[in-house]
Amino acid sequence: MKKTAVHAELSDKQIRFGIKSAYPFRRFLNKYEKEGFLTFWYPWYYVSVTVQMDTYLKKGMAYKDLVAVDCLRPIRERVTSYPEIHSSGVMKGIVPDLKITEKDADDEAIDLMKGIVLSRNKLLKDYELSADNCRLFYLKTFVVKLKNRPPQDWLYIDEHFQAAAKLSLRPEVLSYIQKENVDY
Amino acid sequence: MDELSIGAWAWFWLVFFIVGTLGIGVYAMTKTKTDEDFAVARKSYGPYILVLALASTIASGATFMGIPGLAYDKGFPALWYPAIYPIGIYIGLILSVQLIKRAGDAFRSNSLPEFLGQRFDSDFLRVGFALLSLLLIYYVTAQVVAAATAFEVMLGVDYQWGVIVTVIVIGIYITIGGSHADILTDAFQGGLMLLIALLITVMFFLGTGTEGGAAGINAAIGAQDASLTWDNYFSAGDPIFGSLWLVILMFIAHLPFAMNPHIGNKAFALKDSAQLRKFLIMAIPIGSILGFAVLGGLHARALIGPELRPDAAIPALFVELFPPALAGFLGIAILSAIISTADGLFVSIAVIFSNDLYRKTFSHKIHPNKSQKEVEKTALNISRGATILTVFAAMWLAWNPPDFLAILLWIGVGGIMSGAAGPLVIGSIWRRSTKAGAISSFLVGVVSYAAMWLVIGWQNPFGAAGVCVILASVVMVVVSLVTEPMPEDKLNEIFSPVRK
Repeated sequence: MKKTAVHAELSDKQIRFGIKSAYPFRRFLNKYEKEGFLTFWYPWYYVSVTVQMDTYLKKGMAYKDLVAVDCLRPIRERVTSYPEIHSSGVMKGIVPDLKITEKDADDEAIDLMKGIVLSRNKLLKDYELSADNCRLFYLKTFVVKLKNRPPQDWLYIDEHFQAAAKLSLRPEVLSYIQKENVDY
Repeated sequence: MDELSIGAWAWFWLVFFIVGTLGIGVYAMTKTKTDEDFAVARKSYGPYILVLALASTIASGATFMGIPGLAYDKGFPALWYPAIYPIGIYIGLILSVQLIKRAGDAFRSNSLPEFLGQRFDSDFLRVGFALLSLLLIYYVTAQVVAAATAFEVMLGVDYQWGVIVTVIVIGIYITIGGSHADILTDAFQGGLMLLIALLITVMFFLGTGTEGGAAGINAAIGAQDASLTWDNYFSAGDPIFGSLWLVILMFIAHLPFAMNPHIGNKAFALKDSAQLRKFLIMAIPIGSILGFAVLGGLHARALIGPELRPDAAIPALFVELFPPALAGFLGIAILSAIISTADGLFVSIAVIFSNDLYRKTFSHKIHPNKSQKEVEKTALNISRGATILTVFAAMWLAWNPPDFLAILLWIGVGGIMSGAAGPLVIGSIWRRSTKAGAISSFLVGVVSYAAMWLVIGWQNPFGAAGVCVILASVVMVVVSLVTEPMPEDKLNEIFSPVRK
């Protein structure tokens, strides 16, 4: 399995966006300030799925789709492309253990596409789905420590999926933060 | 060409529309290298396309015919409606869509009834909400009535023939319903409706066809009936616009509107959760602009007088103000929007039968020995049968048109709102909601709404839904507080899921 580290940078603008997203009603008070941050390498499987289908209007159609499967949460996303790799190399920071295998990721990707193909195609006659080329990506995300706030209130910022949340809403990240004795 | 009548132009544009729609379908089948566009009916959309799709789904026959019809009949007090409903709908959407999208992704929900069953771990709620959603048939009927009315006014065909032509056109839509056609028509129609709503708004403020702008329209309406002018904030004694209290109820009734299965489903089509913010920010102004189509009802009243059937106000206004070619085109453009909404509703109803009732609930009881593949094949057949059944049911209900489309539509929507308010909206934002609270709230909402119609006979669907939404919400909170909270593990699975 090839592991690919996808780098990103953390800017002040992103931190402001994160605070705004996680605390929409408190940002005016400028109450929270950054005290430090650490890097969390978030693992995602990217699975290519081949969809073959016959409809009542046309037979023998086939195409490839792409699904990202979250390795720590039961989340699947249909995506348009692989993450853009700026550079790859040593992953400094927290690298969590994978909670699923490559086979699990394949199954999840097929399950997602099956739901889409079945529920959204009006004239489907027959279909076949298969997964191939499962790739593991570690996306660089950030945990921002906020002054005088407990870890539950810290920010989690994922630049790739443009997600920002309090750590209390991302328990899969929080558990690693509490487990690791990280120096900021 | 100038000698052609409005009816002839409307027929021309109708043929153009049907040929165009078929053309899009054929294009979709032959165009792609990979077949992806046809294969996946709604590929992952970005927020721009989805906002237009959402707007064209929410704004339907009621937006361009039913609501302007109310304004045509009830005058300026009806303006409360466009002022209130987009705010209600989109606040409700903002409150609950994030959780529904997140948890829907996590739980692989294909529909809102399925999500509801998972949220509260309850088969009863899934089946109950699925059965309740069958009231969408009234929504479909309202679209067929709207389209047939447009045919009647624009094309001069008998109303009943209009119903038949509508159903045939919808049939064509469904048959060619490949994905690319869906994408193109949804986005295109959303954009077109936006332009038409803007056109109606500009014409109203310019007072086209009258002297003195909007004030001229007000004066012309006042000459017909002084109680309809803008000096009247409320329409005394009216069951819908009679008082501030009724208007507040209207606002409350619309809060859970986005929880209608065919609308809430749009959230599942977003490419990823990160786009929700942009999606919601754009959805509010665009939805509000569409609401201003109501001004056309006032404009028609000022120009044409009180003799029209209210739902025909906008088509009649176009006929009055524009040259035949343009009026015919605008009428058919609205018609196509109505039909595309109906098309989406048919699919939603089919999903209720095939997914929520058969696949998720009854398949393992009635077909215990069938393989997964066989079950899915049966589900597909059920989906097709349900679509055909719905078409005929809507045709039957639409045969004798009611006075007000908006009210017909709300018989169904109000019931769904009343049942959904507690479990879906409060359940989405309040972690402490319990299964007992959700079931009680659902039952109270549905039963009280039925009582409002059948026992009390209150002729204000917004008011009835508003009262029932309040009642159901109170029941949700009170019962949840006095019953055991749901297990923390289960709540985490929904609000912040983690792989075990």
